[in-house]
Amino acid sequence: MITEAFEFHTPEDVQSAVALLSEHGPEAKVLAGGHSLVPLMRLRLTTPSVIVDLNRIPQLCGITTENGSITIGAMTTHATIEHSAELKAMLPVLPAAATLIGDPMVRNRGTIGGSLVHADPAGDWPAVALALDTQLQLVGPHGERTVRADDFFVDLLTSAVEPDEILTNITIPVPTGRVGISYQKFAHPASGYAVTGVAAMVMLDDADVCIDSRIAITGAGAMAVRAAESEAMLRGTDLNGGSIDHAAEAAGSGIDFLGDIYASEEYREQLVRVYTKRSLIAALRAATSGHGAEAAKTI
Amino acid sequence: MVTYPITMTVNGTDRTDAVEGRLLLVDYLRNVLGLTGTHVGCNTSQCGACTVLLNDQAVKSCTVFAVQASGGIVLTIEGMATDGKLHPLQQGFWEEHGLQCGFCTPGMILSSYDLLKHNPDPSEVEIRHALEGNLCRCTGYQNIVKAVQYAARNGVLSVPAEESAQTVGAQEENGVAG
Amino acid sequence: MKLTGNYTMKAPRAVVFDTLMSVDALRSCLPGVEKFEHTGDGRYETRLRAGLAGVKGEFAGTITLRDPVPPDSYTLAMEGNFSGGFVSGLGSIRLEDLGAQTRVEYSGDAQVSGPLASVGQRLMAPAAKMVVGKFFRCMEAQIESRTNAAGR
Repeated sequence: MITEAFEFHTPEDVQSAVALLSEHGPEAKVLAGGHSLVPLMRLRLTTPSVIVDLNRIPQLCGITTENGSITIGAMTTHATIEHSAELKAMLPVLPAAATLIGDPMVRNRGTIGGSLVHADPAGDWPAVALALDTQLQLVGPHGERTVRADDFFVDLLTSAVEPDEILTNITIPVPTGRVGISYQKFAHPASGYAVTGVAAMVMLDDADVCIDSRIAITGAGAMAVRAAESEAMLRGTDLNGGSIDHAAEAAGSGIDFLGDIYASEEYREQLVRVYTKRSLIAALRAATSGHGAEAAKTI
Repeated sequence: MVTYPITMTVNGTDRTDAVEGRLLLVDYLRNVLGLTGTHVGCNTSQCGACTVLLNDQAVKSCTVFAVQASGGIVLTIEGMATDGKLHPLQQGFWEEHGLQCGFCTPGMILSSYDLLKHNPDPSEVEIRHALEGNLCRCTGYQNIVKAVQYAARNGVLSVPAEESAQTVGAQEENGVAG
Repeated sequence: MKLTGNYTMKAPRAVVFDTLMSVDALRSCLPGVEKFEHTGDGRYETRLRAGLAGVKGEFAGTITLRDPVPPDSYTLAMEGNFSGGFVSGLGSIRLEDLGAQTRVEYSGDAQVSGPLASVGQRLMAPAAKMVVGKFFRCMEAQIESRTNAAGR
């Protein structure tokens, strides 16, 4: 099917894009990589009369590093992240997780900002962003604001971005010391979306005692969430003991599990336990080997 | 009807048109330029039959509006053969029986081309990973993998028409498979 | 699409049952009500329009509340056009005493066809769950205002 007709705008800077959104209100929709929006438009399930294409705003693209943090423009594609030599050296979980998204053509067009703002319950970036304590910079008609990943994912397909705001970039503090980060995902064999995906970060002292941990789960409920209870269970423990098992058992507490024709609620609950454990073990392995990060996908 | 001016280089030929914002790149290639080798399969960016190269990257042309490709360089299956000679990837699909109905083949070839440009000697796993976005309902993929391996062995980096500035008409006379 | 769950409300069972069957409360709590008119025998001509992430969900058809056994249970049936396709669903709702509170258990099955079902299949169940959650939270607010009004 062909989409309904729309006005097409290609602003060349963020201010013009925000002005267009203010001018056209709810009729306007932002276009990033298009892999969620365009199929919905083609089926006429969504019919915006104004499209604001962000693909021609150079300031929204690219990866920069300074003062121990990484800033990624919202329109940076998954493929750019996947192939970035800089990220492979500084925060290898990002390129490793990017490789697991969709397929090569999707990664060539799809953007990290589009994925985060869309807040798909089975998206990969939301879990990774939560586990890395990401800050998200938004620009709207009243100026800029920064939102922590913990406050960004509000509900099913709902992020903290207001309709007249644009996500411009995300900033990730690069954890230092004996840190391991992993993203492990059980992918739907057809769509590639996460039936369950778990991002885990562990920080160890010299005696392998866990100083800090962040665990985030996607695919299991209406939105990606932190497993705060499990994180607390790990802090101060030797991860080579049984604490990972206990933390994995508790990882799903507080999640209202989704059930569908492919995976029941009980199955997703079990996947969360298994993938939390796998992700923590991989993160621990990465921390102790000095390799830094791992990511893997099972289908 | 509001139209937008677009210009792009398709298979080495400069194109200028005025199109509606909602015209998809795949429909521009097929219906406006008559390049029907690029196929429409699922319509929802899953099957990869519509894959073309846009600015040197494989994209699903059913999920890109033609206006978005303006200013860009597009390579379709019609631009692969040169001087009446099949591109090594096309030759590979021929030699290794990499197609049955042929519907997915143009997309398979363009995705494979994108892979081989970055990785001229891929492993079987890498080929399969690179073709995850292209669905085939006939072959079982085995012979498609062999076709890509054939191309890797037989000089896939020969320059397709993208850089050789042939006319579209001349390419069509070459009788491209798929 | 199967949909099951429960919701606990801070009110006695009879009050919860009456509210769930009340036309006014339903009109307030169903999502995006444009039309909700009783045509007899628990049948309501209904038009709903709600959106999520820019996707329009539109329902036009009938909702029927039938087999009421106050204050224990009733059945909810809905049938009609749904966003360019068709939906037909049947759900049973049971109320149980939970001390001074009431536990509402729902269990239903819906057949959905059309474009939303094909492209959005992955998101149908979570979206339905979200709508049901909002519905019960709204009903709870209705009950609260009724209880307050009655106590005055």
